[in-house]
Amino acid sequence: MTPDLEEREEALERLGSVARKAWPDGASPVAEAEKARFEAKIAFRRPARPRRALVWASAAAVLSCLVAVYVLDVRGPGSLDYDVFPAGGGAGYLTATTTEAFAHFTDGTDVRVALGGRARIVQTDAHGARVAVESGKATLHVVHKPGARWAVDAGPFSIAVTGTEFDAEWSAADERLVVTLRQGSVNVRGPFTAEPIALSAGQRLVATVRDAQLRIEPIVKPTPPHAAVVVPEPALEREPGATVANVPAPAPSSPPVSTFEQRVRAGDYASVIRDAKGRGLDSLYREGSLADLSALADAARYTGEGGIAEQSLSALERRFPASPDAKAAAFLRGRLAEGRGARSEAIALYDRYLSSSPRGPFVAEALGRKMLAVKAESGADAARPIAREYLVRFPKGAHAESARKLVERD
Amino acid sequence: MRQPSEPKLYLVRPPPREEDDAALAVAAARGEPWAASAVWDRHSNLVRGMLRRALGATDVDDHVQEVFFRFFQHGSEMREPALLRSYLVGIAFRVAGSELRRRKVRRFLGLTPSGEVPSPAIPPLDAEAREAVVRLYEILDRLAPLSRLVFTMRYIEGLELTEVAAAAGTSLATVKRKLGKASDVVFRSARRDEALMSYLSRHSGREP
Repeated sequence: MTPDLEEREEALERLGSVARKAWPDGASPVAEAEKARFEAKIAFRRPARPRRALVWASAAAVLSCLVAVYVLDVRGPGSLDYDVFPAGGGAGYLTATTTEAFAHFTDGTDVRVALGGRARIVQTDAHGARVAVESGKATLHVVHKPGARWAVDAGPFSIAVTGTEFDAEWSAADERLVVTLRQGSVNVRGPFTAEPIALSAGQRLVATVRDAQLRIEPIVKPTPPHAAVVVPEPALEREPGATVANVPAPAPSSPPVSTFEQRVRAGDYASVIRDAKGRGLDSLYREGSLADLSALADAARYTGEGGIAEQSLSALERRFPASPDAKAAAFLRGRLAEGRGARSEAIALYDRYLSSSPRGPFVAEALGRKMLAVKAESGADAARPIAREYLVRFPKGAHAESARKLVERD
Repeated sequence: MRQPSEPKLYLVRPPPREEDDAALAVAAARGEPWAASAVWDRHSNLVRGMLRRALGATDVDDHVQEVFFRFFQHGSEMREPALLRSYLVGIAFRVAGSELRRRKVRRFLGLTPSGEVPSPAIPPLDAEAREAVVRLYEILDRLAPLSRLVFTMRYIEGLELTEVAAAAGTSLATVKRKLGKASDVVFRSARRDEALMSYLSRHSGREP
């Protein structure tokens, strides 16, 4: 192998290690639920038996349909289809007389009806379905897809869903609805209020039509990761005529509450933001650990909560000035400031990063961005010295072409 | 006198604790649910990790489901049950390929607000490592789906070229050709990125 190829091979191997470090093999944060979902999917399906003759006979037809299917996949599929088990209860009926009843939709959504219950698939379209729970408990795992629209009717209530996992239990005799939400969010409409009632993960809504009472409570008492600062909220009762309000959603009890860092690693940014707000952002900025602040800043950046991201990064800089995260914070804050159009502030933050981390990992990017921001703010003449410095230090850098154009205009 | 009816005896095979991959694959092909669950237990973490790294995404649960569901439906077509792991890697390769092609079409048709697919959700390593990962996947996003997958299988998953060819269902020559071009693109792009190369050099102790 030539030295050039050796160098390339070594660099590529190291790039590979960057990705392996970021995403090691590992379980899903909802591993048990995912396994249960898989088992439920295969429970009522048998493995496909290959029929070669049929395959060949169908090949031409399949081929002619592929283009249309591909376009449909992008623009929106046709109406969803589903399998029901046990079959025979009538079209779209889920009757759990002797065993649990189950419907599996082509988009991956599952509906289960517990023993003794009855539900009906009223309508399907390309984006979801409407399911009526006539009695008993139905458990829905709705796969979140862009534009998904699912609805569950139970008595006089209607639950609007996009992607989530929850139980809806309706008792006609007691005129009582219980919605237990484990993941995602739903809106419940009913006879008590013109506005939909928003439920978050970890909350249960109990509504009794006869008594005109509505109650929203945590599924279980929260097991907060930071017990010192989280106060369990009492359940909220709504008397007839009173205003409906929610208690803050606790972290889900299963799997056990994880740290901010673990949740960001799992991509659960929303719960980090929600919990941070529940704990009090100011107290987090004052007392949160380095890891929590760093994870909060990431979660906020990924969810577009620029204000929280900037405050978290400022707190990092102020409270943990010697940490690498704090040094990088000035650069990241500069990017956030640029994002909201505050160029002067961004330039100052890039300057701060460049002086505090002269050999830091973002130096080229900070210098290049500073050059562009100065050009936009004060014109090409002001940016030209920065462009020259950039070309000397990073002649093949990502901003080299812009820098070169600036210098050549001189 | 009426004889009491003979009790009926059924031979019920208990799920084995430590079946090898071949036995698991055969049992799953027969449609035994315990085997499908056992295959999930043994290989889902590997498949999840591969899909995350291939797609540069944290949330791949739906794709993992798709891999194992396809395996359950078509496992009976396996020619070599002992190569269960390779068979799953092949399915994961195809599932990842479909997702990358879908992303590309969406980007082409401008079906996302910015015309770009969302940035990858990067696990919280440290700030430098996160930035390096973002930059690496920005480079990978420029590759065609097959080239990208061949590259990730070789340099990220560490598969041998013959294994990559088997997973891709293509010839060794094609894999070599795709890998050569993809490697050139990635290497040239990475060299132009000071932050990425600086990170690599500081974490290997050598100047790239």
